[in-house]
Amino acid sequence: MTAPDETPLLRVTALHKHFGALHVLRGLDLEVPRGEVTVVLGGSGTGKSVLMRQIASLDTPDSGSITFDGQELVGLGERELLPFRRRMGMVFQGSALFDSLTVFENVAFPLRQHSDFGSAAIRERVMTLLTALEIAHAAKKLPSEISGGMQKRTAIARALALDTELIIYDEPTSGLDPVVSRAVDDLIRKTSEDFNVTSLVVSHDIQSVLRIAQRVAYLHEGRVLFWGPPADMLKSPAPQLTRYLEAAGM
Amino acid sequence: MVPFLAKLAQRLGLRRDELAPIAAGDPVSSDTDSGSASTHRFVTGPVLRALEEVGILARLVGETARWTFRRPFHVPQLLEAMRFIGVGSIFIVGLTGLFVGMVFSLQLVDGFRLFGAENMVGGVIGIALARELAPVFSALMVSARAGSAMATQLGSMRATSQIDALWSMAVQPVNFLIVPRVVAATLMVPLLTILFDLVGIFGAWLVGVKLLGLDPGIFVYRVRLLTDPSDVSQGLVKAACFGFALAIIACRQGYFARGGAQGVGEATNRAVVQSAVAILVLDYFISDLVLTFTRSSG
Ligand SMILES: Nc1ncnc2c1ncn2[C@@H]1O[C@H](COP(=O)(O)OP(=O)(O)OP(=O)(O)O)[C@@H](O)[C@H]1O
Ligand SMILES: [Mg+2]
Repeated sequence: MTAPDETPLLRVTALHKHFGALHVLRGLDLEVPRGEVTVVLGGSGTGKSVLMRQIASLDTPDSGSITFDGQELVGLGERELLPFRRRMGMVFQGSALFDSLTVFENVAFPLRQHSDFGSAAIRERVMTLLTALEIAHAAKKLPSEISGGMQKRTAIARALALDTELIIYDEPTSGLDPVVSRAVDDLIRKTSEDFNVTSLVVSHDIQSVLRIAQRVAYLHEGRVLFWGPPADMLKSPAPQLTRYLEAAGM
Repeated sequence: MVPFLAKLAQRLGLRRDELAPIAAGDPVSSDTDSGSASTHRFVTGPVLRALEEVGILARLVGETARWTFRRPFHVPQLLEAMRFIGVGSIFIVGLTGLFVGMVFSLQLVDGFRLFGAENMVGGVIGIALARELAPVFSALMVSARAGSAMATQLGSMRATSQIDALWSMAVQPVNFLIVPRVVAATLMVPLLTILFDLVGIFGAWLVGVKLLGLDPGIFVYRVRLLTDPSDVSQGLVKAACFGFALAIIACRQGYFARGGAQGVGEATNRAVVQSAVAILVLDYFISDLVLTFTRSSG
């Protein structure tokens, strides 16, 4: 038995991103510990989605560094990034399911693209995931035929299909009713534990943060103003964070 | 002038990080001009935008060419695109081919009768169909039917982050979405052109011989005498170029669509208009090229 790896799975250092004159990320630092759920909090327009896009290599930062499992991602070419993309999954805000494919086919998609599994093995893996996420009964339906919460669960199953090590969720509960939100929260937590993945979650919802987060990062003006366990957040002296928490009714 | 040139170079994608915006699906640099010369910009704006458009298309052509010969080859995607573009257009191309041949025959018999040359009709129609009518009309029909659909498909995939989702699952979207469509259109438009040729000649024969009483033997004889295999192959070369152009334009518009559902609608609209213009402009230049070439080599 080796000791659990204490280095963070993901480390973001001094990240800058401009859009023209708009300086969105201003030297942002963040660490995401292995196996934990880290939640990124922050007001609207503070660059949470922009940060997630840089981490998932969907966009390139102006400067700074992003390391995944100790390896630098910034500056890698398209093909060098491919192996890292397989190790990360992303659950998009709108789920981003392929609308011409069934739930089953959506989850099978990354496996068909990247694994040497035969169709029986793919079937088994997909059904295991769908069962774990309690949407096996909808396997044959199209995304347009299922509810938002089920779409989200399908998206999570798809992001998990390739033995993902890191899942990024961009506002997984926005636009869902409280009951479904809560179910998605539980799911994130459970997914993190059951599949032993590290989770990075963008959220607006303080209640949900307290429920799922082992680590919270509060973004303000393109920097991380607070980083630590959620319990410490309430004790943080930063006035911006205090105001944010007050506004959220804490 | 210097900032203008710098901007131009930037817009044309002569930057090291040129591919990053394509990857991010945002080909147009979003920087706002901090320069003071707004009148200057008023003049150079449209020029820059036109050049920018050329730059984006050129880069997409480059990316597509690169990924066409790179693994993985998405064969199911290609077959589906061939089915959609080719098989799906058989009816509409056949129908237009029939009527184009028929109306051409009607008009030519009427006109040629004035100087007693109506027996030339078959030959003239054969040449006209093979060289011009079949490739141009087939491409226009495919563009209206499949090009617009491709722009809408890719546009809505962009709008709902499905293209980002492909990236995040380590599937290169140019390779997965654009290459199959462009290759399929480049292959299928020539095949549809052959169909158009055959159905068109049949339509011309129907009207000329059956309706207007031309001599059937002479009609067929003239077609075979005047229409050279090189006329047909010239048409097929054009058709392949048109197919490539209409697909790359449709894909460009869809792939880089912005602004939600409305943006997708506008992208589709632009795809159809730009494809039609591109087909007709290309037609002139390819004709010129082919004629120069055949004259100098013959
Ligand atoms: N592609 C882009 N081009 C120009 N500006 C952009 C682009 N993407 C994001 N921005 C800008 O960057 C800022 C941060 O956007 P971002 O989407 O990251 O906010 P957010 O923190 O996710 O907000 P929300 O909680 O509302 O989702 C915004 O002002 C936005 O307008
Ligand atoms: Mg956001």
